[in-house]
Amino acid sequence: MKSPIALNVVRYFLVAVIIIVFLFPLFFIFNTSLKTEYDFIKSPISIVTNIHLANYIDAYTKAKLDLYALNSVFFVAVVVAVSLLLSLFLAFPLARRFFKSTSFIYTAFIAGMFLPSGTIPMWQMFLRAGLYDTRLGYMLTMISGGGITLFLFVSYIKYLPKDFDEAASIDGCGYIRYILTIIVPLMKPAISSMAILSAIGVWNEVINSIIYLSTDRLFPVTRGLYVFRGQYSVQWTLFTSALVIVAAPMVILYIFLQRFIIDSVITGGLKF
Amino acid sequence: MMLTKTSWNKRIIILCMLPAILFYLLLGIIPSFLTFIFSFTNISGILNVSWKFIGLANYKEFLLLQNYRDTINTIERTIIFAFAVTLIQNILALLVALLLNNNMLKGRNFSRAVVFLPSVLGVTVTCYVWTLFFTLDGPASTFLQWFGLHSSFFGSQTAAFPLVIFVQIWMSLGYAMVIYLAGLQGIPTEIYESGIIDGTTPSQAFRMITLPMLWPTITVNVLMSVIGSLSVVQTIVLITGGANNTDTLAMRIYNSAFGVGKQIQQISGSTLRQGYAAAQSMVLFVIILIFTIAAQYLMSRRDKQI
Repeated sequence: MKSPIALNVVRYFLVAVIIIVFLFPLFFIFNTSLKTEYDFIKSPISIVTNIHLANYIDAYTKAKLDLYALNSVFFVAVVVAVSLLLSLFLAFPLARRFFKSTSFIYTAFIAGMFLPSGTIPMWQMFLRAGLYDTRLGYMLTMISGGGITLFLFVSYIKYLPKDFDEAASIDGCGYIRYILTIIVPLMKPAISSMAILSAIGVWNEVINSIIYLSTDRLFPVTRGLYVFRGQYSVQWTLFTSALVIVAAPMVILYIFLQRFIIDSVITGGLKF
Repeated sequence: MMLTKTSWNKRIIILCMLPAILFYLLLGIIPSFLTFIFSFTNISGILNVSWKFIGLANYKEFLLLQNYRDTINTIERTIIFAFAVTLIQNILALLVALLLNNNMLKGRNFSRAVVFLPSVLGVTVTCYVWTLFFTLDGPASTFLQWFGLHSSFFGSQTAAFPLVIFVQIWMSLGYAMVIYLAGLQGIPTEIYESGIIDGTTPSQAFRMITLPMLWPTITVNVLMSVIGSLSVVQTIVLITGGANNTDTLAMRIYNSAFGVGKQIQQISGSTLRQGYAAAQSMVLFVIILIFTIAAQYLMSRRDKQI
C-alpha cells in the first residue's frame, strides 16, 4: 500500500528524531572519553581532534574492570540458569495440572507480585545467616522461580501436545530426562526470551549490590562504576572511558544478536 | 479425549517443584510478611542493638508528627513520578511502536534496535550518561544558552525532578515499545484490509481496530509501569541520591533502612532505622495497591465499552 509523500516525509523525520534522541547522548559520551582532561575542560562539547586513548588503559586499571566484569558474568550465568530451571520444573506440572492444588499455587505466585517488598527482612535474615557480603547471598537475592518467567513458561507449555508425555512415560522415560531432553528443545523461543530478559535484569542490578556487598573483589560491574564515580567524580574523561569499556561488550553482542534479541522479546510478549 | 495421566511417580514431580516453591516461601512470602511485622518494631540495621515492639509509633511518626509536610511532599512526588512516567512512557512507546511496525519503512530494524539500546546498556551506564549530558558545560547547557536560558539541571531544586523523570522514560521506552510491537503483530492484517475496503480512514482504523484489540496489552503494560515506577529506586540513587527534591517514597525507604543516597534531611536520620523503614514500606505498599486497583477498574470499564 503506497502512502502519500507527505506522510512518508513525516514518518522519516520522526524516525530521525528518535535516532538522534537515543544515540546522541551516547555519542557524546564516546566523544568525551577520547579527549584529554585539558581538552575537555577547554571545550566540552566539541568533537575530539586529538584522540587520546590512554584514558582507556587508565580507566581499565584504576577501576579494576576486569575483576568486576568477571563477577558480573558469573552472577548472570548462575542466576539465569538456576532461575530458568526452577521455573521450568514448576511450570510443567502447573501447566499440565497434575495436582488439584495447581491452580492455587499458580494464583499464589500471581498474588506474590503484589505483596509488600521484603527487602528489609531479607537483609536482616541474610545478615544473621552469614550471607552478607558473599557471592551466594547476593545471587540468592536475585534467583526466583516465579514472576514473568513462570507465567510465560506455563502458557507456552499449555500449547505443547500432551501425547508426548504419555508416550514417553509409558516407554519408561524418566521425568527429569523427559523435561530436559524433549520439553526444553520444544520451548526454545520461550526459554531464550526469558534468558535474555533475566540476563539483562541481573547485569543491570545495582541496588542489591550496594546493600548486600561491601568487599571490593565481589562487586559486579554496576557497583564498580558506582564506586568509581564516587572516587573520580570530577574527571569526566576518565569516567566516560570506564563507561565505554563497560558498555562496549554489551553493545557489540547486541549489534550481532540484535535482531534475535528483539524478536525473542517480541515473541515472549506475544504470549501475554 | 486421551488419557491425561502419565505413569511418572508423583513424588519426583513434587520434588522438582519444591525448589521453586521453597525459594518463593523463604525469599518472597516470609520476608514480605515480616515487613509487616517489622513495621511495628524499632529494629535497627545494627545487629547487636536490642529491639522491641513499639506498636504504631513508626506510623505515627511518619504520618502524623512534625514530619507531616515532608511526608506529604514525598508521597506527592512519588505519585507524580509514577503518573508522569507511566502516562508519557506508554503513550510514546505506543506511538513509536506504531511508527516502527510498518514493514515498508526503511531502517525499521535499526530504529527498533536503537530504541531498545538503553535496556541493554543498563541502568548504571544510562544514568551516568545523562548525568554527564546534563552537567554545567555539557551539550544540554550549551543548547539552553542559545536561548539565553540557564539551568543547573540535577543540581537545581526545580529542574532535577523532571529530568529524573525524563531519564526514567528514556531508559524504559524500549522495553514498552517492544511489548506494544508484540501486541500490534498479534492483530491480523485481514481486519485492516476489510476496513480499507469499507472505506475507513487511518484514524478510524486506529480507534476502532487497533486500540480495542491492543487493549489487553495496554492494560498489562500500564499496570506493570505503575507498580514499577512507584518502586523505582536505582535511577534516583545513581543520579541525585535523592537530593534536590527528587526523593520518592521508595528512595526514602532505602535511605532510612540502609543509609543509601545522600543525606536528604536529617529528619528520620539514617542510623539504619529498619523498623521505621518497614513502616514506610507498608505505606508504599498501600499506595501501590490503591493505584493497581484504580488502574484495573479504569481499564476494565473501557473493556466493557468495547
